[in-house]
Amino acid sequence: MLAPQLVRLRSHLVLAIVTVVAFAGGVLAWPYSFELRRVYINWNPYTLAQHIVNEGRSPDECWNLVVLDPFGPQPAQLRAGCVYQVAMLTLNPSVCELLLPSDYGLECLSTVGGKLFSGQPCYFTSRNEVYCNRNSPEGEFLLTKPEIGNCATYQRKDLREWCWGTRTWWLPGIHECGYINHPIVRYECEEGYAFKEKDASFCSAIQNEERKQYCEIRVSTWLKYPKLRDSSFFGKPPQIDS
Amino acid sequence: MSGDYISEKMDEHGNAVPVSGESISAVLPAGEYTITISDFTDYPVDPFTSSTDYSRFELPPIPVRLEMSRYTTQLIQGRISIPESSVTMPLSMTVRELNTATGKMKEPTEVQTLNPSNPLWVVVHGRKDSDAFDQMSALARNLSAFGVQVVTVNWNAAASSVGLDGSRWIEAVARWVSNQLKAVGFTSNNLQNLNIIGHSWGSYVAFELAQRMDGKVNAIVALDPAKDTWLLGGIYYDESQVDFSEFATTSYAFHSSFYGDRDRALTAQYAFRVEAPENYEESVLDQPAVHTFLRQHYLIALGVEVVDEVLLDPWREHGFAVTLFSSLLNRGKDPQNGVASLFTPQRISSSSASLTERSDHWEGLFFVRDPVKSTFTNGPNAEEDWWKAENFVFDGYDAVGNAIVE
Repeated sequence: MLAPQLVRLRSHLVLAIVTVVAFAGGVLAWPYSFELRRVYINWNPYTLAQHIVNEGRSPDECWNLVVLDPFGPQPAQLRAGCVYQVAMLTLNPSVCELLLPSDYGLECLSTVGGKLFSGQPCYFTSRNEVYCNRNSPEGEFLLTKPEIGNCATYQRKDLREWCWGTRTWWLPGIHECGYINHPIVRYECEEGYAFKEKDASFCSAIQNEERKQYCEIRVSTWLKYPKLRDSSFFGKPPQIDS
Repeated sequence: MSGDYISEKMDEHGNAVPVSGESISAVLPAGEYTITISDFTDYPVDPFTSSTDYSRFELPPIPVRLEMSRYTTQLIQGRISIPESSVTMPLSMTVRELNTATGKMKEPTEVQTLNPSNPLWVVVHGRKDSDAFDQMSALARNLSAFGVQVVTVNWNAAASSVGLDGSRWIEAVARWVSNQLKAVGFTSNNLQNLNIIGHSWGSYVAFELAQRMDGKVNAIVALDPAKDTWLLGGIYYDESQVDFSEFATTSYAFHSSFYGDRDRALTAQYAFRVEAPENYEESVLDQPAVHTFLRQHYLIALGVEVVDEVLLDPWREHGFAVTLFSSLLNRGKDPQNGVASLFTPQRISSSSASLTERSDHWEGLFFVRDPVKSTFTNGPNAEEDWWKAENFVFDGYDAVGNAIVE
């Protein structure tokens, strides 16, 4: 039989061991407990977005990002940045809806739209010119004084198609997408028409699911959030002769 | 790239660093090239080993990665290295342009080549930030609305290093960007078109970048240049040598928070203080602190107040310089807007600020009126808010010394 002092000593020892083991277990389990609840502590928004896409998780999990480090953007900005990155990685315009009705949400939609409809030969520039890039089969070209009164005056096919698309986007009662052969230029033409009419049912003319979805979300966003309607992300009529 | 490139990577004793990432980015004119990589490392060889042993000495495998892509000025991607790091960091420069007709952001392939004959604004973010996150992308967007060329630099990977370690990369980022701008054609003949705007650490990238160009750049705008404390390991970049007016024809700085460096801001030709009201987040009183104080929990009240003043307020206010400058740009599109019209890209570029220059003090004070609690969404995560400085009262003096209060 052990002496009472030894028993007391042993009970203290057991208590100490149990405390140390419990503490160590708590420390080890700490990160896993957050993982189970899908809380992401101090993750880089780019890393988290990639993780969400790779694992097929919901972009809503970006809001579970916990930021403990104050030397940088505010936490909500980083969480929103993660949502934005998920949208860029998946090119899914519906992800941007998680950021609406902010300007950043519209920018997200606009950037995804730019990617979905990229590959067109000619674009309107911020200096009221039309630039056909070097990927155009007809070569790089800068049209300094564009006009959309009569598209037939353009010798280049890419400029004629740009002209029909622009007329459909901005002139009332006009729908000339049927003349356009380039698939992306035609889809953007149909998207512009649906937006001009503020009727998402016209988006069904777009034979591509992602681009059609973008078209529908853009129209519905304009209808749903009146305070965003003046945004440059909804486009402005170009200042050219018609 | 021309001629031989010899690595300068060394440790603190001046010895070559055996394991270390290194990156060289170069723009090559069209032609045929031969790349030869030689290893000049002075490997330690035991003098007592026999010649037979020595012959069996194997060089360690040195991974070399060669990335070649078609050069466009609209999107330049690369990597940077520093002697003390074994990894390289990715970074990029992107031209930002909105298709004003369709409202879509243009892809880099759809944007015209950068033209050094026209004004260019380079936007550089700070710690843990990115050119794709809200406050910097809004800044680039508002600049772009003035029809100037805008390029954003994204060095998020390096800027997000643990602690304040990311400041090690400031000079490397500046060196890489300056090389790209020189390749684009920004030489001593057209630096009057080059303007740089940076936030926090990005302000120092702007300074280092200006220093590396072949002459003075046109303008630097420093938005709350960071104050890195050695207590948190901020020992890698010596910000005390920064003088924003040294390598720029004109320079502006906005000091908005406890995390910003007042003395560095004052080195700019035109320096402005951005001041927020006390306890704007809790209306008039700082309620948690007052409640704990009234319950006679004095130490807790003190702790709550310290956390508010040293951690939460500066966290929000460090970004106020960015959101306030964005707001100025936004309002400046209206030429009738008096104060904002002083801060348009054209006005800053023209070096005619129309403000009284004071060598040792602020040229003006922006008092932030009711910081805006901005939200991203109305949905289930509507509580995700962040604070912006959009409305302000300005107090300064015009070029002839008359008070401007607006």
